[in-house]
Amino acid sequence: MSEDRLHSLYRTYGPALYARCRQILGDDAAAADAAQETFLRLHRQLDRAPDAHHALAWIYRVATNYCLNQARDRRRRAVPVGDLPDTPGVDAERLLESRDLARRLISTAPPKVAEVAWLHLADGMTQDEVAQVLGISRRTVVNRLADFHRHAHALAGRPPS
Amino acid sequence: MMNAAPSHVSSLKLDALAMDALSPQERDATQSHLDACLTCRTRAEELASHRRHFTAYVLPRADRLPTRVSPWGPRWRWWAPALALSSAVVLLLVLVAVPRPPEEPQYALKGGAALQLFAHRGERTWKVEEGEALAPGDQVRFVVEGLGLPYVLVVSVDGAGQVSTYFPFGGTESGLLPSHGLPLEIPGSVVLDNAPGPERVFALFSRKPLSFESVAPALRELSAGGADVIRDRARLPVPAGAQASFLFEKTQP
Repeated sequence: MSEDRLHSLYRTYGPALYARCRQILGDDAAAADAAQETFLRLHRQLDRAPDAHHALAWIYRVATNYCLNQARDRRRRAVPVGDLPDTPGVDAERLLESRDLARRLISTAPPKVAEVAWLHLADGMTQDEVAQVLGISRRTVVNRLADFHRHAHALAGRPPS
Repeated sequence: MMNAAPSHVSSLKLDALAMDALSPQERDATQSHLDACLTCRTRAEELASHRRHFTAYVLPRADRLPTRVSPWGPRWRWWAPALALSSAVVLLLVLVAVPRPPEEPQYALKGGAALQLFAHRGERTWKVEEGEALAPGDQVRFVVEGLGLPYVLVVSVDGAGQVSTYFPFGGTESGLLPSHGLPLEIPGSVVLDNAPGPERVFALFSRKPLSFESVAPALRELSAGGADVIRDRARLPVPAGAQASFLFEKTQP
């Protein structure tokens, strides 16, 4: 791929890719690094995507996984029980509205569960959309959301530290 | 108990709307939803704000986006012998083609550790001389010799203040060399950006992986010193077992 083509792809898809990373990581510098790294992993798929919608699906798939792993690695302690919603379980509306809450809660889940939870709860995708973006079955999406629900419920049920 | 969320538009759809990547029906439906939903308008504006930030602050540095080139792609015909030769002969010729300094190289700083650059432009390939001027778009590969130390971190600093990790590419710590003791070509290449001025590359050899964070302060201090300091200082105060550096100049585009 020529350098011109590479830069053209970055100009076209960089904004959406950066926004995706920024939403998960919550930090401009970390998001810029993540955008560059995931672009280098994605550029062939972006070049071959038949349209922008397919390209965006790739961006969401790869960048979500990468950034959730980054967010998890950056955590040095568990989410304090006091910071979680009072209502046991998960308030989907609050996760949609608050990136900070989504980041603190979802990044504590195992990687494959966190990725499904973020796309469905923080990004507002339907289960079918999540299945399509990740290339998995809807049943798998349902099962992982159930796993996340149990994970969140377990966190909320812990005694105060 | 997970509360059922009211119907909202997904972030992916908001991005697709911004990129005009929705069908007319989906576009109209999404826009109608935004007109009626404050939550989704807020989310859409947040995404738009991030996209603007990228365009204003991140994209201008896109000229520094290094290009990783597959070592097996057509670009490497200039490095490998003709395809008609057998693989064994190809391997032999590649090994022979890697230059071995006949004497202590001028750029070795400690115990003979070595770093050599080779450049490719158009149809031409050549061994870069210390201080030589290279052009934006030139492809550069590195040959290192680390005195038997198994790990190497190849980093650089340029006169524009950019600090880069060339090997492992974009990595956070040293990479393991597949063999040590002989001059070894680092996998992959780098395409030079258009920031003019000096660029000094360091090959830091060690018994255990060095983290980028442990050498970053020294690199940033060097960068802060400006072009003259970058040209003059050939050694980094870092805990490497051996190191070598190489200076070249980047011309105006």
